Amino acid sequence: MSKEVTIVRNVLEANDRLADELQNNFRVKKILCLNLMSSPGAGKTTLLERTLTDLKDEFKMAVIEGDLQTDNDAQRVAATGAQAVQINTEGGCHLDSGMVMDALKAIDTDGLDILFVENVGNLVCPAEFNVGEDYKVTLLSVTEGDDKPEKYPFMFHISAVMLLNKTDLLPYVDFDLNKAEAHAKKLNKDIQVMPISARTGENMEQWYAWLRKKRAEKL
Amino acid sequence: MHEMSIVESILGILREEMVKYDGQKLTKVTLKNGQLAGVVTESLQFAWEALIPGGEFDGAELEIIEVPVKVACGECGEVFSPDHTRCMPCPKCEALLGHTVLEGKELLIDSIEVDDQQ
Ligand SMILES: [Zn+2]
Repeated sequence: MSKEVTIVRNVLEANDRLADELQNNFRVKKILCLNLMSSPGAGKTTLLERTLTDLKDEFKMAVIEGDLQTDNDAQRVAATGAQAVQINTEGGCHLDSGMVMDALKAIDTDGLDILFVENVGNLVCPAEFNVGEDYKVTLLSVTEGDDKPEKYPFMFHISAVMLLNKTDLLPYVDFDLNKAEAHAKKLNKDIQVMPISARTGENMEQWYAWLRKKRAEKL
Repeated sequence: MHEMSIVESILGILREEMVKYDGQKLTKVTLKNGQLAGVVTESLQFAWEALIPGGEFDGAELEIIEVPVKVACGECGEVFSPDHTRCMPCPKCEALLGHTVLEGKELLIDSIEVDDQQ
C-alpha cells in the first residue's frame, strides 16, 4: 500500500539554521558581517583592497573570499595586511553558510570589527543563500547595463546598499546613474545607492561613513 | 545553476524523514516552488533526474507545483496576483512600492509518498 504523508519543510532550512548560528556568533562578538555580491568583474576585489587599506587604522577586518578560479584575489587582499581566507566552491555558483563556517575556523575573530564575505561573481544564485550576514551589499559597475536591477530584481530587493562602481569611466560608457538608481529604488525603496570609483577613490567617504555607522550599531 | 545544491538539500530532508518509514520505499515527492523563489522548475527536475538513479531513492518521482505570486498592496492593502514579477502595479490604487509578499517566495517539500510493499 502506498500512502501520502504531508511534511511541509523548507528546503533551505539547513542553510538558514547555520546562518542563524553564524549571526548569533557575530552578535556576541560584535562583528559586522557583510555579504558582498556582484557580477564578475564589477570590481569587488579592488573595492576591498581600497577599503581595507583606507580603514586599516580604524578597524580590524577580515575577508572570506569565494570568488575564485585562482587565489589571485585572496593574495591581493592579503597584501593590504587584512586576514584573507579563500573558499574553494568547486565550481559552485554561490557561497552558503556551511562554507563560511568552515572558513571562519581559519580566521582569528577575537577583536575583529568587520568581516567581508566576497561572494561568487553572479547576480542570481548568491541572493538565495544567507551566509549569516548583517547586510547584503551589491556592487554594480557602470560598464554593465543600467538595466541590471530590472534584470536581476531579487538581488536588489534584498540588498541594503547598491554601490555603483567605476564612475571614473562614466564619460566613456552609456550608463545612466539616475536610471539605475530609479530601477533599484522601484524594487527596494530603502536601498542606499552610492556611486563610487574604487580605483580612483572617488566618493569612497560615503561608503566608509555607512560602514562606520553600521559597525557602531553592532556595539 | 544552484538547483544541484538545492536537490542535495532536498535529499538531506528526505533522509531525515525516511527514518520514520523504516523499510519502506519513497515513491514520490511533492515540492512547492514559489514564482519568486528564484528556482527554475525545469532545472530542478533535471537535477533530480541526474542525481536520483542508482541511489537510495531510485525511481522516486518529483512533482513540482509552481505557486504564483500573491501580494498585499503597501498603500491600500488590496491583495492581488501581479501579471509580472518585476513590476507590480496595484490594480486598485496603482502603487508600485512597498507590497508585502504573501505567497510565492516559498520553496517547500509539501508531501511524500511511501510504499510499504517492498
Ligand atoms: Zn493599492
